[in-house]
Amino acid sequence: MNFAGFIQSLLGGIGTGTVYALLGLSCSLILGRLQICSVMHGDLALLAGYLCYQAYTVLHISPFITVIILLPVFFGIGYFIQDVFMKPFMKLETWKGRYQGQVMVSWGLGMSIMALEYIIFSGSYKTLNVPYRNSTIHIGAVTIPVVHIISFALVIGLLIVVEVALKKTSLGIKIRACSDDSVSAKLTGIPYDKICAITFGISSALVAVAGLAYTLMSQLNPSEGFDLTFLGWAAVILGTMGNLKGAVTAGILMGIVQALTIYLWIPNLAIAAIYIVLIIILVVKPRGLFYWKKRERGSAA
Amino acid sequence: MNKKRMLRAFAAGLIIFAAYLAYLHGSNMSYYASFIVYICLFLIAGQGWNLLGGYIGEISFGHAVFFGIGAYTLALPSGYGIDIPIPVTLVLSMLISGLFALAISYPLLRIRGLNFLVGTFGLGVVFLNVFKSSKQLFANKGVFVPFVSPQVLYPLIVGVTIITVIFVTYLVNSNLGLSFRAVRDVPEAAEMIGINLYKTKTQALVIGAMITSLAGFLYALYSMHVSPNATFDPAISNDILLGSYIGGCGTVLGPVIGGAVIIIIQETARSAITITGGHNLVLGIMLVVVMMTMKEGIWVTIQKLVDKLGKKKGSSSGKKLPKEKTEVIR
Amino acid sequence: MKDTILQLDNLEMGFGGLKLFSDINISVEKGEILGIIGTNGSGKTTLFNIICGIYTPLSGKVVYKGEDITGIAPHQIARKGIGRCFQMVVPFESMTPLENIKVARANAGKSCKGPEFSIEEILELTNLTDKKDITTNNLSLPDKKNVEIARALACNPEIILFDEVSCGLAGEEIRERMALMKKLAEKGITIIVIEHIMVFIKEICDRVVVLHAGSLIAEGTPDEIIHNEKVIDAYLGGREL
Repeated sequence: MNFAGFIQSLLGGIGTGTVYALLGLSCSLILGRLQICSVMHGDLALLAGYLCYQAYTVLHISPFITVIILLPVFFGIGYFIQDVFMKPFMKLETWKGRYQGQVMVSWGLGMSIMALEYIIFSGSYKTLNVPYRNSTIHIGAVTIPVVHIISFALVIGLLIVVEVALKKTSLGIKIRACSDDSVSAKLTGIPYDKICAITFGISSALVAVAGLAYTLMSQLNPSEGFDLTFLGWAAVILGTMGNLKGAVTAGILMGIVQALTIYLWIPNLAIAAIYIVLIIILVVKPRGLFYWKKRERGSAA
Repeated sequence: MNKKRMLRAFAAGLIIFAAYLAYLHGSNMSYYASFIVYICLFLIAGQGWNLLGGYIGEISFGHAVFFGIGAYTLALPSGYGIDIPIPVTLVLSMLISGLFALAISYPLLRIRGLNFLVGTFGLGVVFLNVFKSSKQLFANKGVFVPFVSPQVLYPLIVGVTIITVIFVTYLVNSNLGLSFRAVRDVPEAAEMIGINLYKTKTQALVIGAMITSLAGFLYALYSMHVSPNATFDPAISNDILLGSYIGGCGTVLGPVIGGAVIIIIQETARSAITITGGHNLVLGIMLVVVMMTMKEGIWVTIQKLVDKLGKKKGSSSGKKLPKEKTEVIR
Repeated sequence: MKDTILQLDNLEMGFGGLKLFSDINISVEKGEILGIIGTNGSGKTTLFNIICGIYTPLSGKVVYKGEDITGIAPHQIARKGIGRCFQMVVPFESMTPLENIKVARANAGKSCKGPEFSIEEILELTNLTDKKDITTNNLSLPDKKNVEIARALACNPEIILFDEVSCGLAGEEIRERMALMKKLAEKGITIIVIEHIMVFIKEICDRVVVLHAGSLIAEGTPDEIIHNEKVIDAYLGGREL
């Protein structure tokens, strides 16, 4: 086993992991905070990816500019989805109908997005051929693709922005209030439904960035959307619900697991290995890696 | 109570009719007969999913795993040329998937959350990829299984479907089924009357897994060929889950109706929209519409309608309505 | 000398560094009705949650019939014979009252050794006989509370914990509950109640303990408690304020 190769694949894993981290970050924001469950985030990410691809190949617009345009658009889409499709389920208790209903509705929406992608872009694999896609930086014997560095910077940047926004801004405080207790948030005069919609919008905007990162690193195919969603969710669970830093860390860890499987073992099982590791970790820590037991609840409920 | 029983008898009649159809067409392998039997397979699997998904409320996105285990327990020995009588493999397949369900319940069902949902989806991915990529398991080309004449097999499958529906009806009205619903309604209070949440969920999962593996086993006999893409594919999990949800999870007949509706619509859409993956648009829109308009699924909505009409007109109209309704929805 | 059925030993509880109470010692005798009163936030419901095993205390023990049950899972405690009615009404709403009773009987009811009522008796006691086949979801609040009591009874418990059963009920309904509790106590079921209504406490309790500001400030018969200075201080505002 050569050491440089090992380090190389480790770094590559961190690079791929950033996509999962971004997905995890956006899922964690709505899942962990407001307990809105959505299985359409992967499809939204893929939609953003396809739009970047289309803008670049047809109009020659840099995907980064496209994403900047897409941010408000996706915010709007997210706001709309929450307001129209998810809101009816917000009345229900989290585990009694809300999560089931939202999973189903968002799954239906995701499925529709996927089908539209199939119809418009066909089922063949598409590659976004930006000139810097294959350029790399050499450090000793190790080469790092530029896109990995960009994506890593995006993750860290967005994590800091979201964390600070949640702590300092008035919107962040409102979001935290709503996630702590919906009833008292409403009684304090916080427009609960609106805050939920805004949070969903932000999460959708974040997912557009994840879509960009994914497009720069891999090939696009409509069927990947559902898998991406669950990889994002896996990051949320692995990093403990509601813990944004945890979700990002877990996402990167998942990337590393994937890369090491390719390096040491069978490439076909790279994604499967992520889930195997997830399940093994859940045996030991059912609430994720970053959960330390409080003495509040003795039982599993 | 009486009306409920009548509706159930009516549905049972429908199934018996399907059995008759299957028998009639089984002799010359007509398309319709095989299609009805195909639907029946998903009805069985849907009943298995419904025990945990509907009665307890933990959504599984990976029931194809149990479906596939059922199919492969039959296929693998025959692929290696080992001759095991079919009844033995049947028991074996149910046993294996039950034990597997028991094993995965520990990491996935101990806490209430999304662990189960994501974990089951992950297991689906794991099984699909493992079976696709390992030569010992015959990889992508799959295995041929022993031939059973459709004349015997089709009525058998329809019969098993009926037995499964009756068994599940009995089960959910038994004390165990009541415990399932107690766990779904108020877990905290369920604990206060001595229900072990984890154990109850595990029981539902294990029984459900066994039923689903039964469906997979019959599928293997039905299609005479088992491959990872036909058994472990997420599409199988999705069909099972979609059928139950659209029909009305947490009821016995909901998955029966929903499963039939889903398979029929899917096949129609697939032949109408020729672009790969395009038929998902119909399914997606239907799912959204059903969830937004009737949150509890088609069957529960029909039941409510029947109740309403029954109150207005008296009980005589209750019997005819569901038939018309299902026809319209189909 | 009476039998002690439940013994709380030096219980200490707190959440995230905030101490709720400490040094709680209560012993409950078999067959008595014990009232727990205290200001809001004094930890009455938490005390119930500890007895039921939902919370594990920071230190101290819960001893039930000579057996240490601290830290045991809630469902095991329920199977040993401790039943509970919640402050928020939570019957199993998708089931009928009869099914509510059946499911309780089939679980904890099998292993508990308290005085046994038949299902008909329970329905009779809780006035649910003619409503036994209506889905609980469609019942009124007093009936839902009755379903909960029925469910707790169906477990054949030796102790029932009532958490503010009178909350949200009107005069006559409260009287019914009081009569029911007395009946249960006569049958030999030990009852612990949390209440805010003093009449209720005065009428039915054999003994009352008062929780205030993290400790047990008084214990005695209802009459003694009502005239206890500390209790008056706690409830009406002390002289030091």
